[in-house]
Order: sequence, then C-alpha cells, then structure tokens
Amino acid sequence: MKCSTFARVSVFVIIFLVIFNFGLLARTYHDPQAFFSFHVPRHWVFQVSESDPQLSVFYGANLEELVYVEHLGSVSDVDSESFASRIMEEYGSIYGLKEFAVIEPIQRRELDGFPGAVMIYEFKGTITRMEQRIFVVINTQGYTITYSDASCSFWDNVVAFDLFLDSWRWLE
Amino acid sequence: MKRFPIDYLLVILIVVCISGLGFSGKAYGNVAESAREQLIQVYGGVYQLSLHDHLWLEEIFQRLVTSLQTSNATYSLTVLNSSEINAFALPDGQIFVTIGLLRLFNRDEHRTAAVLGHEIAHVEKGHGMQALWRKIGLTVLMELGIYWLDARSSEAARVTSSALVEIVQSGYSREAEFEADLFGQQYAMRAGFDPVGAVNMLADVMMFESEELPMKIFRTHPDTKERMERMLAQAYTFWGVPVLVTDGPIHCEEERQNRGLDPLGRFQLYSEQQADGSWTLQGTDHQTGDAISWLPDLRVKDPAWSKNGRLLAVSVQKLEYWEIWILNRLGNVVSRWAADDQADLLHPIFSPTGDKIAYTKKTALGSQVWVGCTEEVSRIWIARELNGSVLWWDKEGLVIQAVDSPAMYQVEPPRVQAVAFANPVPRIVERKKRIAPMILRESDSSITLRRPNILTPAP
Repeated sequence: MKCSTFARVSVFVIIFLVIFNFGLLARTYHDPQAFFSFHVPRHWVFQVSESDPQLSVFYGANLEELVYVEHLGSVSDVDSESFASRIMEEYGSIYGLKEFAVIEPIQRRELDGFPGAVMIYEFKGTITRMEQRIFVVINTQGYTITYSDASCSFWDNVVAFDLFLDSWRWLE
Repeated sequence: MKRFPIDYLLVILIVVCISGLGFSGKAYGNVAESAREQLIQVYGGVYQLSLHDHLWLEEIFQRLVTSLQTSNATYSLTVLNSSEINAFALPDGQIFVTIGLLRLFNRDEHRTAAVLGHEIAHVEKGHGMQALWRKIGLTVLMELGIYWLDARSSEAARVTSSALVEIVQSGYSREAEFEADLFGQQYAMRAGFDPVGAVNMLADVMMFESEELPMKIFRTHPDTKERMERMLAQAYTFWGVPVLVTDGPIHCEEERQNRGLDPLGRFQLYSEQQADGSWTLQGTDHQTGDAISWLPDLRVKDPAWSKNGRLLAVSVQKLEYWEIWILNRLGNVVSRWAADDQADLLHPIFSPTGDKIAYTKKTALGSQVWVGCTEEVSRIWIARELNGSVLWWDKEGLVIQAVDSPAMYQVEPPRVQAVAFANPVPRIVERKKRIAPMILRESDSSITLRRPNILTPAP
C-alpha cells in the first residue's frame, strides 16, 4: 500500500514536472529568422498583428507596457555603443522624437555574452513614454530590444524587462 | 521723389538674369526666398514628418538627385502642411510636395519617385525660367516699368517672386509637362524605381479626377490619358533588348505543369483538354482532399501561381477570345484582363516578385509579349523586335520562345531597387488601444456591458 502511494505521488510529481517544463517550453519565443530566443514571462502576450519578420512585439499586463525586439539588418556602426549613439542623435534631431530627453546615458551591458549598450530615454508619443533600449551589433547585424511604458509607471514596472534579458539566447 | 539708381540696376539685373543671360547671385536668391516664403504661407506651413517617414522620403529624393549626371541646381525638398494634392518646383531646385499627396500614395515609393522626378525634370529643363520669362514679357515688365519710376529692390523681388509662385502653382505649358513626364520617368528609372510607377500614379489621378478632391497637381496639365499612353510607350524602352539564349528547342513542359502547384502546398491545379478540344481547370485541394471546381463551365488553361501563393492567373475563353483572369487563393476572381483589340491573352506567368504578370498576346499578325502590373492598370508591350511567346520568368529575366523558330531569347526587366537605408533607425512602437466593452454597475445586483461610443466624422 505504501509503495502504491509512493508510486502515485511519483507519477503526480512527474506529470507536474512534465507539464511545468512543457509550459516553460511553450513560453519560449524563437525569432522567425532564428537569430535569438528568450522566455516570455507570465502575463506577456505576443502580438501577431503588430509583428513582422523583423519586429516582435509583446504586450505586458500593465496598461501601456510593451517589449519589442527589432532586427535591423546590416548596420555600418562598428560596435554597440556607436550604434546607440547614432540612434540617439537621430531620435534627438529635428525630425526625431518629440520632447526627446535622455534619462540615463549609454552604458555597457552584456546580452548572452555579447557586448551591448543600454540607455533610458523619454519622449512624447501618443502619451509621454519612457523606454529602456539595448543596442547590440553582432557581425554587422543590428538588434535592439526595448522595454516601453508610460513615464509615470516606468520605474515600477521596468523590472519585468530583466526576465526577458536574463533568458536571452543568441542562436547559431 | 528720391531715386535709387542701385535699385534700378537690381531690377534690370533680375530681368536680365531670369531671361537666362547670366543669372546668378543674390538677386535671384531674394526672389527664390520670397517665393518659398509665399508658398509655405499659402500651403499652411512646413509639415514635420515623423523620423522614419522623413528618412524614407529623403532616401527617395537623394537617389533621384544622385541619378542626375550633371546638374547646376541645388536641390532641397520641403513637405507642406496641406491636404491639397499638389507638388511643384522652383527653378533653383526647391521642390515642394504636400502632405496630402504623400498620404494619397500611401508610402508607394515608385509613385512618389515619379512625382519627384517630374518636378526635378521641370528644374533640369528650365521650364520655370522659360515660363517666368514669358510671364514677365506679359505682365511683370509692366510692373517693373512702374518701379523704374519709383522702385525699391525688395518690391521688385516681391513682384518677380509672386509671378514665380503663380507659375509654379498653375503649371507649365503642355509641351513642358510632356517633357517633364518623360524625363521624370527616366530619372526615376535610373534611380532604381519602377518606371511604371509614373503610369500608375497617373491612373490614380484619373480615378480621382471625377471626384471633388482637393487635387490641383494636374489641374492645368495635358490630358491624363494621353500622358499615360506616352509614358507607357516610353516604359518599354527601359526593358533590355532580347538576347539569344539558345538556338535549339528546350523542353519546358514539366516547368509549365509545375506552375499549377500551389507554392504553399495546398492546391494542385492543371488544365486538361477535353474530347471536344476545349480546356478545363482541374485539380485537388490537398487540405480537404476534394476535387477543385473553380471556374466551372468555362474554358480555362495555363494556371500559374504567384511565388507567394497569394494569386493564381489563368487564361479563360470568353466568347471568342481568351482573357487573363486573376484569382485569389479561395478561387474568387479579383481581376480580368482582356485585349482592347481582337486578340487572345495566353500563357500568364508571374514575375519572381509577384507584382507583374507576363503573357502572350496573340493577334492575327503574330504573337507579342506583354507585361502587366498585377494590381495596377499598366500593360507594356515589350521585346517588340520578337514574334514570340512567354516561356518562363526567372531572376535573370523573362525567357521568350520565338514563334517562327526554336530559338529562345531572354529580356532583362528594368532594375528596381527597394528603398533601403545604409544606416537604419529602429522603429518606435507604441501600444495600441483595444476597444473593449465597458462594464457599468447600475445597481448592486446587476451589471451591464455597453459598447463604447465610437465617433464617426460628419459627412
């Protein structure tokens, strides 16, 4: 009888683990072009209609938060920091973003072993938004990964971005 | 009354200069600046494009300007904040387009390049200066004569610039417009834009001409249909000359049959000749396992899928002649192409990009190879040297079989290069609002779901 109970518990544990692991696997997002993958945290939803082969968009549980990943193709920037600097210049130019302001300047940050550059800025879109954006250049290919939210709630919610970045994997 | 000899001299200089005898320097600079200011004022100011729209438009404009081998003008582009559909050029190279025009083209780079190319051609061919001289001959000289008696240089510049603004707004002569059409189309082609973009742009104009839209761009221009015909006639020259590939026969029956295979793998279509000599469209839907019964009771042959599997082209016999019908993936007819004259349209085949269809037009005089835009009205007779029929279309070009010999020729299409940025800028994505029912609590015991009020603009 004892053995039988142990067996049942074991089966339940195994089933639980299998379901749990499958659940994790199902939440892994693979770039359609097979350049990268990452885990999508709970309550985050992939937006098919907003995405295309170069852009992947995810909405979070909070009203204005989203994460989007863009593969820009070939860029001439020699490294991630110069890539970030150039884009910040464009965003701050006369044709750039309205009321653009740098909140945190460019800093280095690794993404799955590759050097990246991260910064936080604010601008006025349909609402005033704050974004944390990571710029990475790998083999002349440019990528950006962005967390975006309303400025008023940005600092409360931006921690969710780490869940994306910690699970980030570059695929061969 | 006090006289200003230097002012008089400036007036004379302006007149002499704009007559083309040696125009340069500050005099025209004042005129151009004044004309620019007037145009910006009349058209609601300068429109500030978003970053990505600005980069996109600048890329098109710079490609066009770079394609000019030699030019004395310094080009600049300004977007005006007006819903009117209009574009114009000042003689010194200042090009203006309204935001209304850009919105009409909905980021179609070939149409946009066609309009910009047309305006650049006005500058390159000196149409503005010629028109201004004519205008001055008629009216402005009279005013300048008045200023001769009591003039100020700024007034002279104002009068000249007003004449200039009037000219660029009202359009040039018929000959000048034809010339700008043809050269603009050439500039667009050299810059890597599809030359039929100009024809499609005019087709848009024709479509809207009958409607009361704020479209003044071609208000005084020549008849649109005639302009389209001229540009279509020129468009064929942008195709390469037929190059002999092989003298011997090539068996392409298998390739021809494969055209009926859906690239997405669901449908398999083929045409089969019946005992009475007629053709029917047959096939299988591999998803349902059912036989396909598209276009029943019609004589159908030559099914060919587009490379993305979105469209299917077939030849259909209606009354006496064969037409080309284009179907969507569900088998619904989305457009029909028939010959204006008595001819059969056969052997449709999609270009590798899917935006064009090549086909054979069989007349009593022989076979011609034509290319049409899938979702546009433009049709071009290409390879006019050949009496041939379409065989296939690969990345290198369109392969044509000569009708009266086994020889095969290849014709290279115009090189079209999509707008691409050497240094792309990442997009800014904002979260879209979803319209969801609102929950209103009416009492403690009941709740009601209500649709949000959606405001529709007044007619």
